[in-house]
Amino acid sequence: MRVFYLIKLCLPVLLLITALTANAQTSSLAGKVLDETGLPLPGASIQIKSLGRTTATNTDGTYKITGLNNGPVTVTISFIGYQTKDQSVTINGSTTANFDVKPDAQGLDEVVVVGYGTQTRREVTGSIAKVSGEKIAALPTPSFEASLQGRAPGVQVTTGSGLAGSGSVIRVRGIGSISAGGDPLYVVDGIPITSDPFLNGNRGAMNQNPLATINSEDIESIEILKDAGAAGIYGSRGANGVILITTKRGKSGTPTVNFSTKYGLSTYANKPKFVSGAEWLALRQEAWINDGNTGLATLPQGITWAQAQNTNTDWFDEVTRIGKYNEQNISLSQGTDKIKTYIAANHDNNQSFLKGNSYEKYGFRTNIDIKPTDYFSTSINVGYSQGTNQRVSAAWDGGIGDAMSVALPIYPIFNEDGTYWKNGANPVRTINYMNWKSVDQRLLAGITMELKPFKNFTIKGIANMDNLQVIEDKFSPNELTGNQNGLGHADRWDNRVLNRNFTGTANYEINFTKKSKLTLLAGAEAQNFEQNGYTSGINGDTNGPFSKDKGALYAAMQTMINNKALVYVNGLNRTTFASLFARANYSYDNRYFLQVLARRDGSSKFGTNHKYGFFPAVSAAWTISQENFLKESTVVNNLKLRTSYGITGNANIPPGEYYSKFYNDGSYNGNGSVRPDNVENPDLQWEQLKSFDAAIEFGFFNNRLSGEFAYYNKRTTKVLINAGISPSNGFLSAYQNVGEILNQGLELSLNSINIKTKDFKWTTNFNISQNYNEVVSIGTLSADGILGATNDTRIVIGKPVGTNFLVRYKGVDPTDGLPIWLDKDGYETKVFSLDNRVAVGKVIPDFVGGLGNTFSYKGFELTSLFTFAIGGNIYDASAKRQLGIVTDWNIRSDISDRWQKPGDIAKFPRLTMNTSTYPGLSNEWNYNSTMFLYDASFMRLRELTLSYTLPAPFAKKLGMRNTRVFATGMNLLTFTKYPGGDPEIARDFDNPQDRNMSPNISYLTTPQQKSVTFGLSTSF
Amino acid sequence: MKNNIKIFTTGIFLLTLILGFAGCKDYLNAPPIDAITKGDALKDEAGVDAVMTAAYKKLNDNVLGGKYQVISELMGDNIQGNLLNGDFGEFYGRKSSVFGTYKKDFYLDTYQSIYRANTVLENLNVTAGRHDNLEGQALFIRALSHFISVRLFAQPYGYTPDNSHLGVPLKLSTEIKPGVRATVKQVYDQIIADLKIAETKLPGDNDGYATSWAAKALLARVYFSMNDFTNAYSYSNAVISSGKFQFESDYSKRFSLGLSTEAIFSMVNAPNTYDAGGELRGQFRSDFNLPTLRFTPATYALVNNSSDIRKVWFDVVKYPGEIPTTKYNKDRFSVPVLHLTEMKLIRAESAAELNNNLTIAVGDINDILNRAYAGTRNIPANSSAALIKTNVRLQRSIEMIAEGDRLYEIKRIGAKGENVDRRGAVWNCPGLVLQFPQEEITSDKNFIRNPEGGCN
Repeated sequence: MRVFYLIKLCLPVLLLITALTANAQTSSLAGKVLDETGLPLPGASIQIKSLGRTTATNTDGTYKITGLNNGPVTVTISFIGYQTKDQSVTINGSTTANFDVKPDAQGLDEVVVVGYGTQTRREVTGSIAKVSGEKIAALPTPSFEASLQGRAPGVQVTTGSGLAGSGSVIRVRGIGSISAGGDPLYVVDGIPITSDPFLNGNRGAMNQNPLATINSEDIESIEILKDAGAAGIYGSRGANGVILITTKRGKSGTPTVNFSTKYGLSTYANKPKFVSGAEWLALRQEAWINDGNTGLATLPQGITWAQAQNTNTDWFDEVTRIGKYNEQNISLSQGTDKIKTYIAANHDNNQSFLKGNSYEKYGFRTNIDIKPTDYFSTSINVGYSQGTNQRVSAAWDGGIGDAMSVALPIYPIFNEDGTYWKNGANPVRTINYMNWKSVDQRLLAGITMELKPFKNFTIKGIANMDNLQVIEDKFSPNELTGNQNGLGHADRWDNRVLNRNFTGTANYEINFTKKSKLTLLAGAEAQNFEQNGYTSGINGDTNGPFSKDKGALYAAMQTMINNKALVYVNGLNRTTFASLFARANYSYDNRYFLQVLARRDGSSKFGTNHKYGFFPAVSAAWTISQENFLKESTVVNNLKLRTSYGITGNANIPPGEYYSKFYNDGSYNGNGSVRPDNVENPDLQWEQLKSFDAAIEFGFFNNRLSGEFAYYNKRTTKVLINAGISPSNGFLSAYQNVGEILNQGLELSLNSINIKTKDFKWTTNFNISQNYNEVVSIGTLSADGILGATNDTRIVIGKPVGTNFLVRYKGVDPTDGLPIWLDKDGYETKVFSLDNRVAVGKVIPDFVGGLGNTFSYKGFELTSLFTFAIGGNIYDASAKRQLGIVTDWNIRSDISDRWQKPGDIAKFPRLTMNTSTYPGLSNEWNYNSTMFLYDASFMRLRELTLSYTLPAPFAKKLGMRNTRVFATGMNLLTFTKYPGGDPEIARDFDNPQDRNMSPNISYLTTPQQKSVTFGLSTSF
Repeated sequence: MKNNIKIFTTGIFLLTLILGFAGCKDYLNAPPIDAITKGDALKDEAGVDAVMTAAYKKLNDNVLGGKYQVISELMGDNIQGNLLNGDFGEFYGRKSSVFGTYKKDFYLDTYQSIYRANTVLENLNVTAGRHDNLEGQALFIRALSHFISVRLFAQPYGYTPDNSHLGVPLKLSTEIKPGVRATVKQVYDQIIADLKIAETKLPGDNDGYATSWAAKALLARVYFSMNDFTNAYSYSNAVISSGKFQFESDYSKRFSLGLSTEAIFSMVNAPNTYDAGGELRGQFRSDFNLPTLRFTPATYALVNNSSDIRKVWFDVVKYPGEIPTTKYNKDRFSVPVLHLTEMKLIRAESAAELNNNLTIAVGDINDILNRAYAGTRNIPANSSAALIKTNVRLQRSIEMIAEGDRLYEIKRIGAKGENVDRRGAVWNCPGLVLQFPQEEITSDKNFIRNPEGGCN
């Protein structure tokens, strides 16, 4: 540690000039950059702007620029999170200059990616949250987007399940769509990428997640554009917010190799408690006797009482394991003035806690920036990754879903002869035989050419592509199919998504005076999206999966061709999109900022009546702290007001809904079949969001306390709703622009440096956001006609999107143990009726947020992140069967609080096996009541990381630099009142409408993972 | 400076190129390639033919491929269903509600097949040689679908003297509008009108599609369901006397791949590319797993005697205490929707009811008895109408097991004033009628739904 003291002593020494004679262009400048504590700062940029020379400090904070002339120059030192510093240095031979930089808690000079460009934090007039790549990579989540949870106000992240590769539901400032996708637009290095979770529908009760292929270690930063001032530049795609992902690039300085590796173990974070075999039998018998029967209750699937009493299978245990995780990343960053490269390779393998389930990924990325002359530069990005998902069934499709439903503890895994028992659900048998994998390959590549013909004028041309190929092979051997021909059955689904994007922009900066500046951007963009693949799928009876037996694949295809059943489509879901956009930014004296932007989008999704949409936005900011009356304040370091108003849109619906479509539909009787697909609506148009945002950004007490407080009001009109057709027409729904939705909210984020001494530092980051959501209108449609799939959620005027629509449960009548309900008008009734369903709950929480604390002591650092949601409801649709009528389902142990004899005061009514016992109930599935509605509030310890950075000299002995070892716990603690398992729920969804309306509805949803990861990162 | 201008021009050129791309209107006229516009889909006879084929396909997928039989059996009195739950429990319990995906899809797809048939009918002007054939097929499918729907979602013909009670929406065009229930009389009148045209337009052989004989056979079934025995006799007699269909001596052939010689109209199985009857196998097949749908001991008792060959239709050994059927224990088969056995049963019972042509009726019933009991049992040539009727009804309840026939017999005979439900319900209790799906009810405030309630 002594070495640090020595450096600290040297701190006041900023400039040392060694007077030596030197010839022209042979002089040099070298030295060190030190941070506020006197530690070397690696990666800081050293720039002599007048000479166009740039370099970056090495890991030990040193730098060197050679080939200089003697004389005075201005050196600019900048680093993310630090105040940029300009300092004059007189070069004289081999000159040494050390610089110290001060942290910029407010990050006013922080570069923020804004869409088609960058701005400094100071200039930003829209609402943009930035999350560093480091934070994203810190957690071993199933997919990178889950790591955004709790990091940014106004961004609600509901992590998907613990299934390897599963996606999350992200909502930026509430939800303003019903049938159109409510997910934000994802843009990677300027490429609007394919993120549709429904590429493979809901096969196997999992929405395939195209984002899982993206490697979080490649991410430099993520910017979330939240309001019209920020997202407006994305026009019709901006209404749900925009998530900009910027990958790492080469940095100036000596070549650096970074290496990191992680190993982890995982299990489920929460598990619902089920009764044992003996308890299940007792409950069944109780129901049987309650129903007026005598003797022993009948048992399902031909199981005898003797067998049942001797069996107690813990199916949950049988289908889970200790998951394993490992990850390796290696990257090389190097850069000169003319060429900078970043080359990275990664591998990770996430074997989830579900037996047979894993996601293994290989990735490779090269980002190159070339600047051969001062008027031309180009950058080329190529990212390739391959993810192999070993699939298992879940939820309603089986696997762990069976373990929570129809795989009863009284069922054996094996018969006495050692063969699998197969008279009822046996997920162990299915997992053992089923061979099911999905291979995703993604190529994200782009080239940017930039010309600078005049000072302050640049023209950019960008061509991008995002190719995603998903090949899914599922094979059920004969043990599962039982086909008389002795063969198994293989399926292949082959889906290629081609996404091309061309952008041209021109940027002109006009400096009127030293203080006032106008920046103009104009651009045009064209995007072409299409899918290629076999819409019919490929299937046939075979001996093995198609991925291993090409012969069988071709034979199956041939058979299908012969019967006109094979359909290949080149250009499936084709969508073309073309836009013109412009943005003007005016700033005066770093105090007043005004931005005006507009975008005109045209889309092939709409007919001639509404092909184009126009989306303008205006925003402004006032940095009060730059005014004279505050400039010298020691209390207020930063105070900025900003506001925006604008219109964005959403057209996230399938193409071709405006006209009557027909599709090839396999064959019947050996002849090709063509089916009508939809009800046309030639007047279909863009969903429109008018949003207002106002915020105050602040920094007090030397920026020890900083943050932001924001208000927003978003009104979506012409909401796209896919509903309202009477099924006797042969269709259930058609897209129409009929609704109106309001989202209104407050966001607060606070960052504080609580304690800061030489060795010890404690910082806190806190954010909380509140969102109020209300459906204002649904036109002439009926509330009960807009369904969140099977989830008992509806769209009700005056209530939020995704309202739980249920019969109110009052309690148990102690005299007879029968349930008491409330009718529509609130009167008690003992007759259950679906006509008494009312709006009783909501899927959206009132508040979400995160609380992060970091303690650092010398090389040690302890980071924690708690995330929370307050308010809202969880509805457990599977509890209808787990706690309702006694059927062939598992029973949750909270059934213990039930009526058993007259006088009992209990939560659950008398047990029965017959729906008729509860008057008016026709079917277990119709038990739609508040009996299964829970408080969704929860808090969880999302991250707990302890790390230790090796002292530099010690690391150096090992030939390494910047070496850090760490241990991270994810979801180690969860606090919830919900008894049914994990309180954070993003179940498998049927379609975007279901996804918008039914988060926090559980149906046998796989719990989240809880994991501990150990890792090491180093560079050399 | 010159250099700068060059760069500038190149840049502007590139920008214009992209701008031009973005501004190009044609670029945005890019409907999904796999989607076919209505104009293209229906531009010629082949196109109309393909939509017609799609109507059959839809019927098999969610209606006649098994759902129709499953729902009908569950609501009848053959199934041992006291442990069933979910949608099946609801059907079995005869207390259907506004919910239930199984029923919703069934209802929707029955009407989707009608939509497809109407699409064909509205585009016959582009057809040539197959004009009449396609018209006949479309009318046949439309009639069959309406018939399926009205028998499940409304009280039967005869529930009111003039049949003015509410039936189901009648769909005679592809125009999208809210569903309005027509009366049962209107629905039946339309079905008969459609079939009578189909009967004349369709050829006698049609490569697996509907024929004039199929139209006649369906007319026989429709009239029989109306207790109109004169017409039922006449149409069943026409089909049987045509000689086009041969009475099978082997039971197992009725559900077979090679097409039963009894089949008048089938859901056709095309090996490896299109499987008919998937839902029948899914719910009834018993050679591999214990199926969801099993039968009551009373149903089994109908065949449980030493001389009845049809005993093999049940497997009472493999799953002790359970009585699944073996009728659908095949990987693949075509589903006979209308077959000669049914025609014989209709003709015989109609003759008995009319007390006319009793010799023919005796012949029909003896054909069936001979096959069933290997010649050990038959009724005398001079049997009374009453004896014939008793025998026909018993044989019908056995022959048509697992084919979804029994429910309609309970209703038809009920409408004649006789309760025959073995579960003791009254034939016209509300639960024997399915409730309309929620989507139909919510799409129009004025839609009148069925009364709900159990039957016992």
